[in-house]
Amino acid sequence: MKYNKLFTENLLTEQAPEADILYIPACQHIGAPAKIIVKKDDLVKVGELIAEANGHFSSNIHSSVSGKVLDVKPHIHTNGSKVMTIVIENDKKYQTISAKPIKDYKSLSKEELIAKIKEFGIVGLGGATFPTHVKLDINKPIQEVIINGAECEPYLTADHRLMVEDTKMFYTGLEIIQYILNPEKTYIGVEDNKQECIKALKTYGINFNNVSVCSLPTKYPQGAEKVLVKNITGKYVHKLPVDVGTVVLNVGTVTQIGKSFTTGLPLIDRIVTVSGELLDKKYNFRVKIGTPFNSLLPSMSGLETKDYKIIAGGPMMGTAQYDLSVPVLKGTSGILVINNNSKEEGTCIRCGRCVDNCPVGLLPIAAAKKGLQAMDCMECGLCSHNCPANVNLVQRIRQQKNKIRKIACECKK
Amino acid sequence: MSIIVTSSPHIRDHNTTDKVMLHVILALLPASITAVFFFGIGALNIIVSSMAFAVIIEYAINKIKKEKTTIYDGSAALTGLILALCLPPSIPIWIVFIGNLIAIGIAKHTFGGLGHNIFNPAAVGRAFLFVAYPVAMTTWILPSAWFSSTAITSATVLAKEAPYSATIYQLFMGSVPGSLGETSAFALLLGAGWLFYKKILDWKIPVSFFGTIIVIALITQCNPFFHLFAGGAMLGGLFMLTDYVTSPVTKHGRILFGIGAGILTMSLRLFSTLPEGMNFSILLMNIMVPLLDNMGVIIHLKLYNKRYGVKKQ
Repeated sequence: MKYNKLFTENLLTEQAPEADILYIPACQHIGAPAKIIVKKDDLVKVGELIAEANGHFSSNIHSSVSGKVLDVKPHIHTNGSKVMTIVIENDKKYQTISAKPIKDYKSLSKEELIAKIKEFGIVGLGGATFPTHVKLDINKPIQEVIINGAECEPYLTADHRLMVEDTKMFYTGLEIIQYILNPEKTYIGVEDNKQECIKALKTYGINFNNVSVCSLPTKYPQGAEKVLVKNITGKYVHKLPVDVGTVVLNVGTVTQIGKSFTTGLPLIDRIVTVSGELLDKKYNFRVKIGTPFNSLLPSMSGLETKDYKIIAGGPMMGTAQYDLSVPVLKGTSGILVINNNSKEEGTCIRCGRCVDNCPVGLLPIAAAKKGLQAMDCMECGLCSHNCPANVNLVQRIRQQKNKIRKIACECKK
Repeated sequence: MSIIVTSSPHIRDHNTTDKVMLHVILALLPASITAVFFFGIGALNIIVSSMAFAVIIEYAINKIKKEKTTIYDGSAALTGLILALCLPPSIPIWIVFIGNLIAIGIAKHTFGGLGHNIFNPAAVGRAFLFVAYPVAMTTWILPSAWFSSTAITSATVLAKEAPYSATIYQLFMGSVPGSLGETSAFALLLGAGWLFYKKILDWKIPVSFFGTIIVIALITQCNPFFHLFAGGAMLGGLFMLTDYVTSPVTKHGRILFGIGAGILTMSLRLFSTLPEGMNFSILLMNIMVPLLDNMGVIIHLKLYNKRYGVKKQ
């Protein structure tokens, strides 16, 4: 597999160009969509709550700019559907709410800290956008905390830059996590193609007890939760890592916790890699959540004669976009403009490559045909990637999953 | 021109079906070269015309069935090559044509073409020729008959009461009477090494197959090296049993498949009137692939559930 990280891995993170209009959807996380609490013509400030968590398994959403709410209407989401979105006109003054930094987090109880994290609207920034406060709210002892800095998706270098540039903030967040979970051991898993990060993390982490930086082989999908837990601790995870006493958090999430506690501001921006072989200039941008893609892709020349793809996320698990007014969300780690590599689906020649390479030991071809163990598939895309006949295995497994979900729904009724 | 939207993943491996087939053909190049080296230019004639016949027949069938031309995926050429390599050096060309007609026309395309055939096409072609033209199929010539027009007939080393004996070294290098490509174990192993390196060949079938042969040879007090290097065991075990389409997909199924083929080959060699059991053991094991895959899935589920601590619903 070609990792193509050299495009952007040595580029400093820079502030993304300002957008005039921002689209902030009410659903940027796994779980119930947030309840929108602003209406048309309201004035909002940077960091102001605009949609509040609807129940425990949900997350708060804040405005990333100051300005006027133009509309609340359905707008395109990176997953391809239309969801209720708050459209804000950026007045470019960036008036900020009066933030209250938490100086001494140790004076608060664990429950209060988790409530704070919920208030800040922090979700898993690796791409899955699982609400972090739900992940941290556990009533059983935790053996290991694993920080995921593997960033195994090709092209993406957002976490790479974060680990190098924001190491201090990362360790601030890590202290808070360790205080909440009190694990026996903390591991930071980084793929060995990011020696710069390993060095930075080791240099900073020297004062920390029980933290070890693991250099992992560069092999997609090293950063998948199940694979990471297996490779670091040797434990097999079936559903969630918490079942085996492990919590996995992305480096971005941990850094965001550190940052929110130091500044008092919620999650309103993130690092996004803008890359791909079809772009002349590539960047690592710090982007305000809600910025539409088209303001981040200024020069797309030479594409008039070609078929190409625009992807939100990495090339293996990201979603192809068809409308460039789609906004950057909490889980958008990259925007890629790449060649169209899709080929016509051929006949399965039963080579068994999908079976041999499945990182969680499934039988992808059986999962795609009959739905066998389809629900255990994490859709990493390795089987489709390796298939010599270009069978769209992951797409078929997704269809099987939908079928199974439908049957389960009907059974409940 | 336009934005394309598909399901993920958006990047694909360059190892497509046609490249896989091309690599297997390349891997059989050493065996083809030794065939020409030992059996003369006539061997080249058989190999090239067999591949050409296979491609032409495939193309004609594509036209008759009014479907997309599939000759470019290389699978037809590969079938022709493998069939040629398991034919005797003195075979008339018209018999090679009939062999290919059976292999491509009957064994492959009546089931729906590449990916759907139950039996290894080359093995079916050879089995048919073996039954239909027993004399031509068992006329062997001594190697190193360079450009000589008169073939010196002989028997293979596996024949009962063989008049010809060979050292293990001769068997390994290939200077013994036999089918074109199967005599030189060295050349076949060289090609298989290339496929291993390219991650096209999986170790499970060859290892379990050769392991079973060695175990049975040791039990029956035969020389295991003799049974590995003589006859079609090498060609069959490395290139025919491992044919993707006609071998199991599951890991455990593949191991069972190799063991079964080993047992069948050795039983046919030792306890039947046939001198060589490879061809028929391949075909017999091909029938069992669905069964072995089912067993493979059952073993897989048991191991998976144990490993991940899944409770049965």
